Formats: sequence, structure tokens, C-alpha cells
Amino acid sequence: MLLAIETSCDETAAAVVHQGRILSSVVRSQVDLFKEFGGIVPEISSRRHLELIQVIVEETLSRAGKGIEDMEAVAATKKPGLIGSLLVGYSYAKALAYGLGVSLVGVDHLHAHVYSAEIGRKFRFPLLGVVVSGGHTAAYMVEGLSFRVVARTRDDAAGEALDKVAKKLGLGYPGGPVIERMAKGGDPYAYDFPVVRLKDGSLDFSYSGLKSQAIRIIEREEVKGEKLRDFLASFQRAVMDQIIDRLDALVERYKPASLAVTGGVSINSHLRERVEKFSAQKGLALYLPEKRFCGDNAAMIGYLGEKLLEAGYREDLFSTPFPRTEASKGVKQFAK
Amino acid sequence: MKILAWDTSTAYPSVAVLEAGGLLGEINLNIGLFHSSHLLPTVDYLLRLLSLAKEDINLIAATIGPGSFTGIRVGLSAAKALCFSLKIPFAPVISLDALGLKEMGKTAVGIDAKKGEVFAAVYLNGKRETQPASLSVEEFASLPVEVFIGDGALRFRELIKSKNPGAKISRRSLFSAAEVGLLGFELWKRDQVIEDPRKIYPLYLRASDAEIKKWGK
Ligand SMILES: Nc1ncnc2c1ncn2[C@@H]1O[C@H](COP(=O)(O)OP(=O)(O)OP(=O)(O)O)[C@@H](O)[C@H]1O
Repeated sequence: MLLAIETSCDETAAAVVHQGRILSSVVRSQVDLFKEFGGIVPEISSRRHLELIQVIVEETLSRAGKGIEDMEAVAATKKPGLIGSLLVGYSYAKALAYGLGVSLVGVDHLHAHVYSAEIGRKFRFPLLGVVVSGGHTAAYMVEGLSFRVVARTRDDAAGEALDKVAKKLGLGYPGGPVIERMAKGGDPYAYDFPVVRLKDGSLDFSYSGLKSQAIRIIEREEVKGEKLRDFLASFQRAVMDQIIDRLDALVERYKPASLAVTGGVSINSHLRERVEKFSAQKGLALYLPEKRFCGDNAAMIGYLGEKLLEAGYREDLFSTPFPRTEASKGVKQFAK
Repeated sequence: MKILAWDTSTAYPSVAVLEAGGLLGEINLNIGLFHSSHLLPTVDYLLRLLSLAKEDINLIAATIGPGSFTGIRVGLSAAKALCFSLKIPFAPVISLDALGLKEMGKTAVGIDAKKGEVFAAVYLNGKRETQPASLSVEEFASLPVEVFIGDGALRFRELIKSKNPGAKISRRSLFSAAEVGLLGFELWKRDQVIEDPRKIYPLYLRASDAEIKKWGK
């Protein structure tokens, strides 16, 4: 049985996981703190993690009906994320494992997002695992615990594009859920945002062009009322178009047996419908995470953490978190 | 009564173990802000050198600030987890108090707060006389004291000399875990330790830049 901790961004989260089952999972979002700032402030987020970490851990243990001495290992997000935030959860986890005399396993947050889609099921490999969130948009070819990045965003993440356009329209933060709600019933083709492919033929994602195009429209015309609904429906459709476009090309190139679409944006019903249709057409098994495991959470950290432990992964006392990975935006090469 | 003590609030990482008020050992590393990677290995090594098990520790004493925000959080995250897993109390120590503890006479302790400020307080024979505060570098250098100590004193040595020609810059070490342990022991004797790790709080003395920009100080 293990305790998992996640503090890579603006959620303080903990979970108790046992043999692939989630005994409890608590996520405390800091979103409210950042509404006034229109985005995450790293220093405020780090402070909040420190205030909450012990509270959340105790709440998680009590919901699982377990004591801290029942924990046989500790898992924590090691990368990628805001370094100040990561440091709180990771330092806590490392000291906890040391104090309890149990193993610590460090987990890649994006790998964990991919595996969030396996909770309660069994992946069929080779898997094309896609993470679509506010900080990342990346695709991996996955075989068990081996992950190979096959695409990542060159600039903005998909969720980030949604967030920035919503901010520009004064719709608040985070933008994804607001856009989904307000786009309902709008005409997704009222505005034709074309799908952007990179000139070098790479299958990487790129959202800054689409975002700028949307912002230029907002600055040029008054996007309001009925028009706003159409605009948002079109923009949302275009954000997802690019995902489907890349999935199509990635499936052609890598011939996976199955597909997982995960991360904060994967809760979006428009995206879900489209990947369902896509995988059916391609004859791929599709895994979508339960809605509660789409956004950042510790259950997925614990779930993958258990697998890593079984495979023999351990962290030593010197280990320390890291802000980037090979799937981070704009990263071409990653030195371990 | 064994105390595990550390300071992670400055670029002078320091870990000590005390038996009541007596120092058993201290490890200081002149490596800058590497608390996240080095704090626990240092704790572990020191305990081994002293043939102690972590279960032998009865109290953790650590600096809660002011100083490096990240350093403080690394130290306090670890403190919360160790107190929770070992079921022992925590003694919160103000970083400035540890540095001022052994200076005689009237002393200003200053930790460089960056952005033209110094986290500072004034001491008389090791006892704090003012509330810790974030002062402008000028205010700090003009404090009416005989001795200045801390990385803020080193960094603004020239300004101190010009504003305060009679004052001395202390040559005492800036590694302070032994003093943190001593102050922690005092808190323990006075029953002022924290039993609930949820109630271990940092002392930042300054809001985040984003808040300062939005609302002023
Ligand atoms: N219903 C929705 N439709 C579209 N996007 C959504 C929806 N709900 C949330 N999002 C987006 O999901 C993102 C948040 O994702 P998530 O919680 O996975 O974490 P993150 O911190 O952004 O990134 P990461 O997981 O990479 O660290 C935000 O950009 C948000 O706008």
C-alpha cells in the first residue's frame, strides 16, 4: 500500500493506492487563488502547497481508513512542473519515506497522466498515449513502462491556448471549462481556423499561431452574444482539430494497438466524442480516464508509482525534482 | 533528549544533533542553496556518524525564516513529514535569532532579502529586541548597533562602513544549526513546541512579487 503526493502545479493532492486500486484520492485546487491574477503565480502556489500538504495527507489517510504506519512506500511527482511547487511535495515525500523507513519512488507527471486512463482496466500495447493539458500537449509511444516521446508542443499547450483566449475575452481562469460551457449550441464552423502543420514536416503540436489568430479576431471585431458562442465553438473545434490531425498521422506512422487521451483537457466532451469516433474508425482500443482523473491528481501518481516499484525503481536520498522533461514544450533534446 | 536541528533559510546549509543543550555534531556545507538534494543525506550521515537511529530523535528544531523562500519550504516540508512519521514535536526557530544568539553587545542580524532589502532584527547580548522585519538596505546599514552579522552584513559591508563607521562586521560563522538546536531546546523546556505538524508555519516577512505589484506592500 502506498501514499502518493502530487504538487507539480496548482493542485495539492494525495492518494492511497493498493494493488492498482484507489483507496482514496484528495485534490485541493488553488484555482480560486489565481482568478484575480488570470493565471498561476508560482510563489503563491508554493506557499499554498506548504500550508496544505500535511492537511491533505491526513485527510487522504483518514478517508482510506489507514494510518501513516500502514504505508509501505511513498510516491511523489518528480517532474515536470513548477519547481517551487514540486519541491514542497517532493521534499515532504522524501522525508516521509525516510522517517517511515520505506521506499520512495519518483514519478513523471506526464507518464502518470497517460496511466490515469488504465486505472481499473488493462492497457493493450503498443499504446499511443496522449496528454493534453494546460502545461503540456505531448504524445508517447508506450510499451509497459517504456515511454518514447513522438510529439510535443513547440509553443503553447492546448489548454493554455484555451486559457489565454478566455482570458483575453475576460471569461476568467481556467478557460477550458468556461469555453466548453459557453460554446454549447454554437456553430463550430462559423470561423474557419485552419489546421496548422509545421513546415519541417514534424508531427509536433503548435498552438501559438491559432491562439494569435483568435486574439486578432477578438481585437478586430466585437465578439459578443450569439457571435461569441459561435466564436468559442469554432475555436474549441479548431483546438481539437489539431489533436485529431496529429493522432491520424501518428497512428499511420507508429501503428499502435490502442490509444489513450488524457490530461485536463481530456474531460472536454467535444474532444471525447471526436477521439471516440476517430478510434472506432481506425479500429483502435480507446482509453479515456475517468473524469475525476483527468485533471491533476495523486491517484495516477500512486497508480504508476506502484508499477515502477514493482519494476524495481527507487529514489535515493539525494534525489531532487526537475522542472522539465523530454516532453516539455519546445524541448528538442533533453539531457538526463 | 536528542534534538535534530537544521537551517535551510540561507545559502549556508547546516545540520546538527544535540543532546539537550550540548552539541553532539554539526555538518556545514558551503554549497549554496542545495537543500532539496542535500538536507536528508546530511541528516542521515550525521546520525550514522553519531551511531544514532532516527527513532532516537525526540525533537526537530528548524528555521522557519526569514530567508530564502524556497529553502524555508524545503526545510519545513521535510520537518512536517519527519515529525509526522516519527511522531515527535517541532520547535520553530527564527533564522535571525540563531545568528544573533552568540554575539555580545548590540547587534544587527541581517539576511539578504534581495530586491534592495534585508531581513533584519536587533539583538542585545543575544536577546532579540525588535520584531524581525524586511528593511531597505539603507535602513539596515544605519541601525544604531555595534556589530553587524549575517550574509546581509557581508553583502552590504561598504554601505555599513559609510553609514556606521564605528560598527564592526562579525567574523562569526554563518552556519547556525547548533544555535537552532539550542533555541529549540529552550522552546521545548518552556513547552512551546508544536505537536501538530499541520501547524508548522513559515515566516516569510514579504508577500510574493505578484501580490506586491497588485496591492502594494
Ligand atoms: N472542460 C474542459 N474543456 C477544455 N479544457 C479544459 C476543461 N477543463 C479543464 N480544461 C483545461 O485543462 C487544463 C488543466 O489541466 P491539468 O489539470 O491536467 O493540469 P495542468 O496543470 O494544466 O497541466 P499538467 O498536467 O501538464 O501539469 C487547463 O488548461 C484547463 O483550461
